[in-house]
Amino acid sequence: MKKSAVKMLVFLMMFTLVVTGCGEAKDSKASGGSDGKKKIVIGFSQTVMNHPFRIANVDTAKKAAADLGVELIVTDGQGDASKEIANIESLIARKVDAIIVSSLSGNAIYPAYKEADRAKIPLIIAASGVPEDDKIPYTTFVASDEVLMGQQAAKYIADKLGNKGNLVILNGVVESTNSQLRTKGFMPEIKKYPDIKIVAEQSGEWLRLPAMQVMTNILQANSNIDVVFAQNDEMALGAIEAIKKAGRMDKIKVVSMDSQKEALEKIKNTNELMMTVKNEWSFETAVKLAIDAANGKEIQKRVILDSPVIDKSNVDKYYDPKSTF
Amino acid sequence: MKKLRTYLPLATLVVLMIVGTFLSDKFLTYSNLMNLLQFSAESALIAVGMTLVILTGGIDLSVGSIVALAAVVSANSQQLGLAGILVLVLLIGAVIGAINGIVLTKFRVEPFMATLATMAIFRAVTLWYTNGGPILGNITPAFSYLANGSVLGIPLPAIYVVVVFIIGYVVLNHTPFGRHVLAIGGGEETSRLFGINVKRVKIWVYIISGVLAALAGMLITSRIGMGEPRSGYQFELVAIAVVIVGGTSLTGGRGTIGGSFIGLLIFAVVMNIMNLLNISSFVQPIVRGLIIILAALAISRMLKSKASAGIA
Repeated sequence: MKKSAVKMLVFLMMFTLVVTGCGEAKDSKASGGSDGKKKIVIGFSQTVMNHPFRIANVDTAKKAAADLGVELIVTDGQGDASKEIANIESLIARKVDAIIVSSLSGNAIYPAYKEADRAKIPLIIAASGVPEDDKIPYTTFVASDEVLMGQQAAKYIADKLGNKGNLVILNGVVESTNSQLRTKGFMPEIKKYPDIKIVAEQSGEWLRLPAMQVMTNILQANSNIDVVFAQNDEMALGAIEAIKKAGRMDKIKVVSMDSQKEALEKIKNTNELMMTVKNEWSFETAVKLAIDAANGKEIQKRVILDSPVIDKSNVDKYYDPKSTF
Repeated sequence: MKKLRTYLPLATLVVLMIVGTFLSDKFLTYSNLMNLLQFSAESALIAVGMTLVILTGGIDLSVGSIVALAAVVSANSQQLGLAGILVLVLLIGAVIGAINGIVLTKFRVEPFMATLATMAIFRAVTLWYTNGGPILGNITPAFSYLANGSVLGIPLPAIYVVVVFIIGYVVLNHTPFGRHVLAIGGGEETSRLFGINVKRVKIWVYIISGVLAALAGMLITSRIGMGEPRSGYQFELVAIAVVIVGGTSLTGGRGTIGGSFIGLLIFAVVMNIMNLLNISSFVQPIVRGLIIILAALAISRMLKSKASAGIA
């Protein structure tokens, strides 16, 4: 009996592995380049593929690689640092010309960065945490500046409120780095306006349903709310549903971040969402930097991607009905 | 002893309600209490199933993953109409529940392990199915009404909470099946000797838990208007906490559906008060943790002192 239980468990574990896939490197393209000149090969270690933002990273990287005539190898770390390291090691073993890494694993990933350095392969860190330890080698760090995004949102709100009013803040998951950085930019900036009062600050856990529930409670507690700042679009969309149900949409403005497609549609077609700060998800710049590095060009240690403020006045410029995010 | 298990949670809830009323004048209002109740619907469905599971001495960790799968599938099959979606969702819950039940009875895998495995598998299946992203189908107005409609000013989800607990109560206390569930938790061997088909009852309990979780997933999709594959994370832990605080013993056999209803309300009231008072998001999980510890401690202490008093 015990034996059959063990057997069953082993079977289930194997099944889980098969279902979730084993994070093997997948060629996004067959190796081409029959014309004497060697084609540049770039490796891209993506941290996890369970979020539209991450999927859009990969899609745009593939498109940029195809447009620029280089080969791209994408690996999926499935949110597991040891898998990410194994993936980067396999990219090094394949002698790629540059490696783009997007990791959420903090310092657990550093050994892999050192290995890439020893193999003299340029390392581009993108949409990811940057090593705070300056002994960790990398070529460049390319991402939006989350702190700046927070500042921009605060300035926009102060401007639209005429420097006074009641503000509700919906934060992401409290332990999230992005949430902390966005707060770090937003809070000092908004505190410059003493007449803007923060009446509630709660976590909506980055998700629509918790944000809707928390916002419902906040609406109960506060009969005077002028603006809601949600740290991402998902939470803003949840908050909007709660505000509409309470019949107070005409009195409350909603401002958010990320500029996902659904949010841009809301800005374009309704007055429910007022503004979202763009969090660049395209990896075009990262791929270009990887090619430059592979060609031995000198590149900057920090490349900041634009994070424009998108509202009704300029939404058409950014709205792409075909985008995946 | 049975009385204690019932009255301690109830007393806690009453105290919390009084505290809430003093702390915020917005607490004891009709609309606030209705919101509190209607946002408990998903947890209510899962907690009723979890109560039955825990009463048999088991545990079901897979409910959160069932929620997610049912949520995305119902978003992706809007063309089937309300009845079609309902059948599909019930099927998902029943099949996964049956897998749980069969694995842990026929193959004698611990419930914790069997449902831990299905939890991982069906979360992965969900992400695989959606490619990780949300499903932004065109949710039909009829489907949206399920969670957003109201009857006589009462939001439908609030009605579901009451209905599912009443059904749970009747099933547990007024059917042979319910008596068998309690008997199995009290002692499997004895139950078997009395001619109860232990395996069959257990499989059914997990099927019920799966079906209720799947309905919760469908409700979430109706509420937020899309299929979110990240739905239901940690719902199993919330449900287990609700059941324990409601006075049900994790070892099985002892506990009530009514207790779980009170447990659910305790957590809902606490979250509501913390939101109303704008308590820091960092502190909120600490408060929830303390409630679980205090409830467990109070119940075990009082039971012990009663037991020793009985001996003396």
